[in-house]
Amino acid sequence: MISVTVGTNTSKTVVIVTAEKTPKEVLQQAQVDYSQATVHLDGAILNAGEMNKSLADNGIVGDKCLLIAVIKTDNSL
Amino acid sequence: MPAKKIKILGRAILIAIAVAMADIELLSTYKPEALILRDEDGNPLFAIAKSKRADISKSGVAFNDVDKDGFACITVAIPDDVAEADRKKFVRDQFGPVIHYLEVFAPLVTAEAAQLRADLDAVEDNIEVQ
Repeated sequence: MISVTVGTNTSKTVVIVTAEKTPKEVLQQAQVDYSQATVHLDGAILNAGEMNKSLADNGIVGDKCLLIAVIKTDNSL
Repeated sequence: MPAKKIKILGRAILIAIAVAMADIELLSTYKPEALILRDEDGNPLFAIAKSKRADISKSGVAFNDVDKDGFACITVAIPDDVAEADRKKFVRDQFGPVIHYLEVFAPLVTAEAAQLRADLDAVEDNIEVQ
């Protein structure tokens, strides 16, 4: 089981999930809107395909990781 | 209530808990929050789940198997560099806190599942088929 710190650049929470969960499922479980965000898993940017791969298949080992949807607004350069 | 049993078989450790896999499946469908142990501030401390992939960590246990009585269990391997004489100590050091959480959590999960099953049975009893 993995303790995932999930959220945005301003708000974060912790969820515990199995390594089979995909980043998309974890974001949805934590009710994070990632529709206009760049999603980072342990600092690496995820593409659309990786969003649908399990955390294990995305290379997460150990019991902790960070999943952050970085929302960049128009005036935030 | 203790963890149902912990057995070391060669390089394999079998950890079984006193929670039926059917109860874990039921709660994960209807009340997944009941499978998460939280501290007084609501932060998750520990969780259990059913999974295709066995997984045990400080954060929780994903059970992928059942014993002959239907109780959830997991088998994990002892690394090759752990000598036979040190295997018990290895299990205590690596999994002691996890096993402690399981012992605390198992009766709560079983009680939640029993309550949920009773609620669902009550709903079924109120269904009239004409």
